[in-house]
Amino acid sequence: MFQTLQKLRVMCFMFATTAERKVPPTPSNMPFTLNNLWDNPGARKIQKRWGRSGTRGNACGRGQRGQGARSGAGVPPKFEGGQTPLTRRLPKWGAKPSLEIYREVNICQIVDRIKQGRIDATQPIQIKDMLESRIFSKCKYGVKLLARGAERLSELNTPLTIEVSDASKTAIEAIKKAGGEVKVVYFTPLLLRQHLFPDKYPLELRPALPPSRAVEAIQRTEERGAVADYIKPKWVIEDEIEKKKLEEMAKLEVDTLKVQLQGAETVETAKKEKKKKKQKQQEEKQVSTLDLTNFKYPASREPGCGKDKIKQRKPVVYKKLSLNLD
Amino acid sequence: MLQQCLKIFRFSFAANTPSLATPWSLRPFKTEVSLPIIRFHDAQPTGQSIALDQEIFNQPIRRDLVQRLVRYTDLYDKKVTKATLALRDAAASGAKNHPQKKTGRARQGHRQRPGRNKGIKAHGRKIRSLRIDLPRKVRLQAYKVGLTAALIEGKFTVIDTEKLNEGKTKHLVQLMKGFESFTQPLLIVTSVDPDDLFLRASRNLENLETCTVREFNIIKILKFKSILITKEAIIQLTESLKQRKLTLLGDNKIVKKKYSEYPIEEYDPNKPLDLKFKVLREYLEDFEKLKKEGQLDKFIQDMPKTKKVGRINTINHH
Repeated sequence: MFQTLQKLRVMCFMFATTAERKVPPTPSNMPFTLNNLWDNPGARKIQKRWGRSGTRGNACGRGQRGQGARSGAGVPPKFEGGQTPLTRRLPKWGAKPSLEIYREVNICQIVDRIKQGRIDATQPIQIKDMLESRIFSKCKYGVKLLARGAERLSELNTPLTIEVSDASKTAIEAIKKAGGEVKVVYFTPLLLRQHLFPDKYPLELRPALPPSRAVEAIQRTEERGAVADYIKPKWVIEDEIEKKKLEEMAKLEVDTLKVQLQGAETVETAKKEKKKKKQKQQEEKQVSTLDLTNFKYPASREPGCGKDKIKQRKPVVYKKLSLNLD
Repeated sequence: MLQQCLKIFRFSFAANTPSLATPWSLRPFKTEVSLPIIRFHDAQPTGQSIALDQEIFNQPIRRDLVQRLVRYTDLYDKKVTKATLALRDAAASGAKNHPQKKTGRARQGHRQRPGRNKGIKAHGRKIRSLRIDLPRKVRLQAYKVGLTAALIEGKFTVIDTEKLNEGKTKHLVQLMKGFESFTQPLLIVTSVDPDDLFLRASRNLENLETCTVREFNIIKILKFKSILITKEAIIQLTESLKQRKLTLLGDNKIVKKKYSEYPIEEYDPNKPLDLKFKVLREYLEDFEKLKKEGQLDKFIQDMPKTKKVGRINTINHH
C-alpha cells in the first residue's frame, strides 16, 4: 500500500513543473519504524544504463562496427592515425620554475590567532606554532612573511619576535615600528620536518650549511632589516673581513688618507701625461698623411635633423558621427 | 556573525505539543525533559530523575536523514559472495580451436566463448561489497534524530542498575512481568561493563535482547517498541556523542610527547629486577640460589664444554 503511494508521489513529481518541485516536503505523523522511512523527492534518480531502450539501446551509442564499437575501444588522445603527432613535431624548449616554494603568511593571520589565545606572544613565534594554530596545514619548505594587515599590530600590547625563512620589506618595517624583531632561519626539508614533528626523531640531526643561492637570498633579507642566524660558508666570512677593514680605514685619521690619495694622484697624473703624448704623436702623423683632393664639406645641418629634431604631437581629432537626424 | 544570529533565531522557538509532524525549523520540546528512574526489582519509581541533554534528545525531526542512516547500516556488512566463472577460472585450455586460415570455418580463438554451448557468462557477477559512503556529520545528526523520535513515542524507561543476585532466568522472567511489555520484544541497554550474572540469565530468552552502548544503533532504536536503559548508559552515551562532535570540529587533540621526555629508569643495584618473561625469572632464581650457597664457581667449572660446531643444517654446495 505504501509502495503504491510512494510511486504515485514520484510520478506526480516527475510531471510537475519546476515551481512545484521547489516546495519543501511536508512533515507527517506516521510512526518511526523501519517500513515508514523515505527520502526527500528528487534525492534519487533512476540511472540510465546501456542497452535499455531509447538512445542507449541496440548499438549503445557506438555506431556500427569499426574500432570504436569494440570492447576496450579507442585510441590515445595524442594519436593522429600514424602521422607524427604535434608533441613530437615541435622541439622542446624552456625551463620550469621550481616547485619548492615558501608558504605565504600575513601579519593579520598571526594577530587573529594571538587574540584567540592560540599563539603565545611573549615567546618567539616559530613555524611550529603557526602549524599548531592552523594557519596552514602543511609546510615542507619554509615560510615567507608578508604585510597584509600590518596596521593591526597596534591592537596588541606586546612586541613580536618571529622566526621565518624570508620576509618582505614592509613587513619588517611594520614589526620594527612596534618594537619587535624578525629573524631569518635556514631549514632544509628534513630539518623542517624534525622541527615540526620532533617525536619522530629520537636522535637530533645536525644543522645544515646553505648553498650559495640560498645565502644570497638571506643576504637580501638582511639588507631589508632582518637578523640572520645561519652557518656561514668561507667566502661569506672573507667578504665580511674585507668589509671590516674598509670600515676601519674610514675610522682612521685623515692625514694618512691624504697621503694615500696624494700618492694615487701622482700616479694618475703621470699616466695621463703619457697618454696625452701618445695621442699628440698619432694626430701629427694623421695630419701629415691627409689627402685633401677628394675632400668635401659635410652636408649642412638644418634645425630639425637628427638630435635637434623638433618633435611635435599630432593633433587630436575626434570623429564625428553622422546620425542622419536632419 | 549574521549566520550565527540566524541560527539562534531559528532554533529558539519550539512547537506547542511534541509530535513527529513538526517542521524542520522547530524543536519538538520546549524545555528540558527529565525521566524518572525506576527500580529494576520492584518496577516502581524511586524519587530520583535524570535530565536528558537538549543537544541530543531535542533535535528537529528529519525523516530523510534517518532513512539514509538505516540504508548505510544495512549495507555496511553486506557483500555479494557468489561469482560467475571467468575465462581464467573455467576448465578449458587457452588454445586456439583451429588455425586462422586455410580451413573453411569461421575464425575462433577460445573454446568457451559466451555465445556457444557450455560457454562462460560475459560480464557476470563479481565478489564485491555493497557499502556506501555517508558524511560523518550526517550520521551523527540522524542518530540524534532517532533518539528524539523514540522519546516522543514514549519508548524509553530508565533503570538504576541491571545487577542480579542470582544468574537464573526464572527470576528475570518474574521481573519482566512487572514492566507489562514482555510479550513484545524488549531491549535492555547497559553500560560498557555489564553484569555477568545478568548476561547469563538473559541469554536464553527469545523476546529479550541486551546490548551495550557501543552496539546501540539506529536499527535497534526503530525496531523495538520498548527500551530499558540504565542510568550509567545514558551518561556514557552523552559523553561519547559529545566527543564525536569535538573530533569532527577538530578540538579534540591528543598531545604526544617526545621520546626524550618519557622517564627512563636508571639501574639501581639495590632494587630487585622486574623481568617480563617467566623463563628469565627462573634463571634469576637459580643464579641467586647458587650465589648464596657459594657454589657458583663450581657450577661454572662443571659445565660441559662444547666444541665449536658452527652452523647447523647447512647445505654443502661443493
